[in-house]
Amino acid sequence: MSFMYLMDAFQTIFSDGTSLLFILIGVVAGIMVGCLPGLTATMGCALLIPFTFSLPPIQGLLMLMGIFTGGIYGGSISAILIRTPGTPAAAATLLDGFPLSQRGEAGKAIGIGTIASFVGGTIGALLMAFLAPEIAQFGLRFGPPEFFALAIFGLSMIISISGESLMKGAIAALVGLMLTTIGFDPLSGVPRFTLGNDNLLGGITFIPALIGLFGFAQVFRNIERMELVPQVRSKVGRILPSLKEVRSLVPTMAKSGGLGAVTGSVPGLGCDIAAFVAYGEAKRTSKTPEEFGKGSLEGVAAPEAANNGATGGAMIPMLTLGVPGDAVTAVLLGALTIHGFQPGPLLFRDHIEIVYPIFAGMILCQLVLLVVGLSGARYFAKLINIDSRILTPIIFLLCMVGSYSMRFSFFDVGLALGIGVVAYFMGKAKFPVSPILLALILGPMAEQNMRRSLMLSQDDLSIFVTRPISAAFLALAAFMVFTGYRRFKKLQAMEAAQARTGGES
Amino acid sequence: MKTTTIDMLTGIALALISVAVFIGAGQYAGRGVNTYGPNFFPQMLAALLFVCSLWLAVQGARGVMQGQFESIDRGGFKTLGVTVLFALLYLGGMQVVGFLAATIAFLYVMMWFLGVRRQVSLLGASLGVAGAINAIFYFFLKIPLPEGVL
Repeated sequence: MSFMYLMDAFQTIFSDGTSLLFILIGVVAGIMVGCLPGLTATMGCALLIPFTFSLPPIQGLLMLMGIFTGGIYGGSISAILIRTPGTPAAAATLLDGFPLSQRGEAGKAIGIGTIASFVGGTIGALLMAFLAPEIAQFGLRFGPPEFFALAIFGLSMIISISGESLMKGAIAALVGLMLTTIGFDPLSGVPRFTLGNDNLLGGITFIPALIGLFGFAQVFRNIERMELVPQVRSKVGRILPSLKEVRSLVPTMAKSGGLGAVTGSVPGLGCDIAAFVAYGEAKRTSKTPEEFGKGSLEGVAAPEAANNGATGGAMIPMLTLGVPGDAVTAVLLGALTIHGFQPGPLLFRDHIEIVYPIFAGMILCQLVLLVVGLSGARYFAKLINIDSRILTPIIFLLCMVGSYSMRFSFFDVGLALGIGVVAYFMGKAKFPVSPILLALILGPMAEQNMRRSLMLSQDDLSIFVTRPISAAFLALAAFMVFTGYRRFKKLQAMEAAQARTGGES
Repeated sequence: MKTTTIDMLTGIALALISVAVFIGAGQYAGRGVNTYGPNFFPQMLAALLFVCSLWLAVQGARGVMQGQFESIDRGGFKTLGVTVLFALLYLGGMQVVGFLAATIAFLYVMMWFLGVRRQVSLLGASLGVAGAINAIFYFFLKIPLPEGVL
């Protein structure tokens, strides 16, 4: 059944040439944003969502898929050329990509990275297309208590994205959850915490918050550090690797793509962790592990296949359960909502006409990525050399226009600027901002379903633990927090030991 | 200021905010259809935030660091302050002279302020980008941008 729907979706896309055009625009824009250090895929999606507002939903969503795919891939170009990953997902790529670049083989590294991204991305997209409907089918059994437990499970991912301090991550999430209570109460209609301002009756709008957290805050950081970051000049050689080289890397690409897709589908892990997991696995099983870190082609292929494989994987929980696994899928979830579609099991029942074009579009994005990446890498590499003193005001402008264009409101621009200033200082004090975004998405889901459940049970709190699926999600959330905390402590101990060893030597 | 002192002060400030939210949410009590009305969720969050903030403040007072505060480059920070000021002026200016004129001026001034001196770059980038964004939004996306009162 899924296969037939998928074929229909391909037909829908191919019957309208503009859909392909929007995929192309999305992929190109994504690569451009991804390859510029300091601009993440999350920021790229945040900045480019406003450009999709007035497009028909399918085309708007296809463009966003393109931005997501291109953004994750684009990070590898700067990682290989200047040892600075354009996105965190490309951090593992620089380990072998940059040594290759130093040997004058930057073009080959980019070529391998592009082909690996295509292979991995396609595997991830296929997994998404065939697995997501099954999970959504299961999700149709959910009622308010299950959705509340699911939101709590989603919020437990904060432990994975909290950076240096779990407590600061928790505080950021609580602040984000509190922000979601501003505006009309969804069940009783009572306006809450609006301070008499009519602009706040609808709550903190998603786009200004998103642009403030990921757009303005990053621009402010770039402006502050501008004088300290030197401009880097880079050269690209021949892009296309030989067929023999590609053939020998296909098993690594396929395995890493699959690994990336599975890793990415676990909420909280995301593309960057998938890349490191695949890199480690490729090194462990390689016939030449000693080459890793010195310019191994396998060392470029594995993380690139995995991080693009993870894009499809990460979409699974977001689309089927409405739970974003990381910041960039949270942005995509918000974008879907803006276009009038609420991700979750009901999306598969009520809007099948949207779901399968997303799957088909994701697969086509990989094909476009391959063509654009191989033919345009040389030009994208030149973007890295754009003077940041020219680029920063342009991004600043895009943030302003983006936050205005949702409701044509100057209040929203001011709000985004204000949130940007707060997020800038939060970054300085090591408060992570991603938990706020996750909380903005999951907060309303948690509150509404919690209160609906309590209405159903006539105020009996045990409803959350007596229903098996709800209890399972809550137990899973507790398990995630517990294991995440242990992993965090272990990492802290390792870093402390490393610091001591460094101090002694 | 030391990182731990900043943590302590942040913790105290957040604890005070959480108390204010808890009290503020109290006014919504009894306006729902059951016991858990519109006050319940914000009050629950405020209570949790209070506990976490207090913990952060206590850890700060004890000298336990929760992530090193990232230093602020003084010169860069001043530049940032002026940039935000430009942005506010731009917002005001846009409502008077319209998006296109205000954007050209904003980009030109911002780039000049950040150190770009070549007139070709300044004029090319400000005119080109402002024109392109205006065209994309106005003609292609059909999203109206401010036209100003002049």
